[in-house]
Amino acid sequence: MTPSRRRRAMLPALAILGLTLSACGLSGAETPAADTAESDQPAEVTGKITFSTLQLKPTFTEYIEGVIEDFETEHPGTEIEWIDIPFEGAQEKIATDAAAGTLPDVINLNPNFAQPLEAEGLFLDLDQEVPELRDAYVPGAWDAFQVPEQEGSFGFPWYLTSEVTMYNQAMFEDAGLDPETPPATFDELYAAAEQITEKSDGKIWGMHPALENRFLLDLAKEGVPLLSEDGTEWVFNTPEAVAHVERLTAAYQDGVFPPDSLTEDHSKETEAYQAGRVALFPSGPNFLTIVEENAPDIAEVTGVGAQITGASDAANMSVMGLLVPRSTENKATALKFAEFMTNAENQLAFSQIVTIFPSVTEALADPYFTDDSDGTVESQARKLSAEQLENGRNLLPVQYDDRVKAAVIGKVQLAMKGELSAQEALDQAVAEANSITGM
Amino acid sequence: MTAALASRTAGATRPQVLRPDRPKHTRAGLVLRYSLLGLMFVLLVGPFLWQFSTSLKGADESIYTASPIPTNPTIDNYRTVAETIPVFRYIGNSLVVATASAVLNVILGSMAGYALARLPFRGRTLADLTFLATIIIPFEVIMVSVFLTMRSIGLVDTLAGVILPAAASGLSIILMRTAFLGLPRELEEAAKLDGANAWQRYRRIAMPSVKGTLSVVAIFAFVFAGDDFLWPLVILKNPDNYTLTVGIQYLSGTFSANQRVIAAGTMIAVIPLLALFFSMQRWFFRGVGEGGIKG
Amino acid sequence: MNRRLRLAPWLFLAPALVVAVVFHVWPFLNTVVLSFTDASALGGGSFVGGENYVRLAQDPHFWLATRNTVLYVAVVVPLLVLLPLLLAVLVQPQIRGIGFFRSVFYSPVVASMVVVGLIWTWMLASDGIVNQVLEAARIIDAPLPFLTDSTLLLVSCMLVTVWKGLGYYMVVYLAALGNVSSEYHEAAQVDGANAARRFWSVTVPGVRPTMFLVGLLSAIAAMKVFAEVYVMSYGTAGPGGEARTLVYTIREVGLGLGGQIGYASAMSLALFVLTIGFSAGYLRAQRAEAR
Repeated sequence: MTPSRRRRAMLPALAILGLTLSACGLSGAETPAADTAESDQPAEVTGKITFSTLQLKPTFTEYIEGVIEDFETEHPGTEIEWIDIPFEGAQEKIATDAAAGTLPDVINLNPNFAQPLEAEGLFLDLDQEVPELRDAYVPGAWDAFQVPEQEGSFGFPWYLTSEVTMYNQAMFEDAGLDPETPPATFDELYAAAEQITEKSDGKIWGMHPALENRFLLDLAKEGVPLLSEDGTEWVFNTPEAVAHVERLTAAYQDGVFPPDSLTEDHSKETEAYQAGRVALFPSGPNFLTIVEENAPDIAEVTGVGAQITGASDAANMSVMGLLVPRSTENKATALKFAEFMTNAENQLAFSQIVTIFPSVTEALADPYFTDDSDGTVESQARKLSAEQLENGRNLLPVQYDDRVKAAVIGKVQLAMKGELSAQEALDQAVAEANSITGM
Repeated sequence: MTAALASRTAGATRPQVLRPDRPKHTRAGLVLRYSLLGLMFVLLVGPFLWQFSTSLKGADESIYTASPIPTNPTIDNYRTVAETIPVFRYIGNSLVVATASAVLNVILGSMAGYALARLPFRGRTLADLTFLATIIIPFEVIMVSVFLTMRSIGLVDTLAGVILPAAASGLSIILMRTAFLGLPRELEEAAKLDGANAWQRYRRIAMPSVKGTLSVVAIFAFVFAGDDFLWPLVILKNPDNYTLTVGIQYLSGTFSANQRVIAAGTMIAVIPLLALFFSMQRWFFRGVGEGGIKG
Repeated sequence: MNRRLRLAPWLFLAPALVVAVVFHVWPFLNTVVLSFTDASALGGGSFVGGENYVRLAQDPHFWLATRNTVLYVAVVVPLLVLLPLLLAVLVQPQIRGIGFFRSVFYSPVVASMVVVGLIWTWMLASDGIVNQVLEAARIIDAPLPFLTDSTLLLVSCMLVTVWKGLGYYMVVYLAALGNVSSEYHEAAQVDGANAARRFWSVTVPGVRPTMFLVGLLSAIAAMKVFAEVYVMSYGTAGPGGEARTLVYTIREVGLGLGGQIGYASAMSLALFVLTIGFSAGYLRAQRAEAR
């Protein structure tokens, strides 16, 4: 789970409306093309830069400050000013900064946030600046910061996450399922969910659909092509997709999903699992920690399995990255620092504090990710996730922004309510998505 | 444009009594009143109690249990808040912002309100429309543009930058103008004959008579500024300058979200506001035209 | 003297006017200009004439949002004019513990919208307390889908708006009630009028200007309704987005770094015109009645 999907900004970005002011030159905004990076700047690594992260305070304050200190020691004369942006309102803040030309020198973004900024040419192309580094990173992660039909890669991959399947073993047992065998495919997943609901006389919901979080990813895992081959058109209204929507509809109508789940998001799914109302919980392994914090009793009976796969066998991986704007006045230091922050040693240390994964191949090979002999759910989840990353890709197209998501999910909701057929819903969703993306 | 809003009532021109309402309370009436108060209490206080109860729950207790009463109340969560973020610094910043906003709204709002209510001038409709527009335009629509203005006058990352856009809200002005319009004209007419200028009439006669509305304007401005999230987040860069509403966002980290600690954080943000309200509420119904007689 | 008289009002107005113009009106004029461009979040911005407005007229989302918004105002405003007044009358007398009650009644105003959403979605859920009570009282047979039916969702949001606005407008009324001198109440009491009669014949006429003020303020606020719809539907505006309001739609269109700013600006302007039009009509009606 990237944090973007976990915590939705309460007040998304009308702010961004004003951005155009820069586009129109109505006010004094700096144009994105203001390209100081090419001009006279110190080539050596020295001087002051700013570095922004997405909601890593306070849990990782010590870690981040430690890395900054190491960097400053290694490169005397440098100074890193760290700003952590809370996730809520982050889009607005980044947007205003982009409009005003005041982006930090190194900025932490996920691929979907980064996409429109990348497309405007706001960031340095790392394939040109540091081509030698490409091979050090997990390929799927390096490629996540690209723009379709455009040259260049713009982000140093930072930490990765990969979904696992958490499930309530006690509920499995009560329903006559083997508590040691979690479902591995979509067929098994829905079969288990149905059985649990049925055996509990509808008191327990097998699972929660969390459409905003999972719908399109699940289609991708089922082998549905989301975009046309040249990447210019949404095309996910295939027969396989229809079958998937029909399955969701049946599960909703049969009470396998909670009645209010139609509009609910991933945080409500988490809550329902923690409250012991839902049996299956496919999500990022870091949620194990959250379940432990909020509902110790449920954590005790939680088991963990690999990410559910469908017809395509592909596993999804969420990526965070560090990007350097072209407007930086200290390119050399910014690039060096981004590289330093994402190197094997520092990423390995990061992933030992929390269940995330390094994007550097070397660090991922560490025994820390392959040894689950201590028998805890965490190390089991860690091992499963790390294995998945080898074949993992960011399955979510970068064009899937909040507006496309709203249009697609809206139609699926209507299908699940029975107001549209699955085919109608998908056809309308594809049409709306294409008109929004301008394809 | 809003002139008629405050059209005078017969009552406002009559001599006022000392206490605006001192009815004889019968026993039955009192019982009924308290029952209704109790009912409203139940309907309105839910979220507050929920948050409060969650903030007192210990780590071993699920926050999803049916019982709203914590089995082992603890103040650990509040301690965690204080350890996690510089809570006193943030409270200090919020206090500066909210107090300045309240003071500015009282001064600017009453001055503008007085001019609209009492001083004849051309262009009144335009002034009316301008102030009404500040209420109507959703701030998010214009936020980036305001940010750029702030940048050009060098107020980015300052508390002044947080305060200024809401320093004279249209609401404050309309409330003040309504209050001034409700005052009896006679006193001011007399003062005018005695040679008092507009400022003296505003300062010595009008202002002391509208203390109730002034306190309402102050509390609204204070609460609004103390509650605002998006604008302070956008305009402030250095986390040392953050206000409390922005700062408590740090309580829900990316990889952990302890609802009890978050609840404690929101309580810390809300309780001062309610305490202030509590200390000011008895002023509220010293309404229009009443305060001048006797405290 | 004459010159001073003409200057004085402007000196009084100047500070507030500067704030209003620099931080509100001027930025808004930018928005007006943008509505005639095809500006996107980060690029574009060439003049396209009235294209955005033509598109607006043909956009079913816009018309649905307008319908919902007008409906919202129509339902919420009368309730917010009347109920907070009753609440203010209830908490007006200085009886024991009244300060406590006034403060807790104000607490929904300062509660964060996230918390409000949490509580109300919990109460209005299919297995929530409201449905449980209705079922126990045999008013309904099956739970009502307060959160997953567009119409019921809109009603639920209105309920939250009224609930959150009670304490706010109560304060406005409290300040005004100071005006209605108890002489009148006492006179009425001597006349043998009961509480309800006194409320209608003494209190209401006494606070009439304030009722108009509250009507206007709550109408403007209802025109801009967004947060309620957002938190009650987890950001979806209900199944298929059918409970959308104007500001919800404006945000959706202008949302994200790929937002269509030109079009969203045109929609903002439509909202502005709607609100100004409503306010003007409202004030004219009030003036006519005051005569």
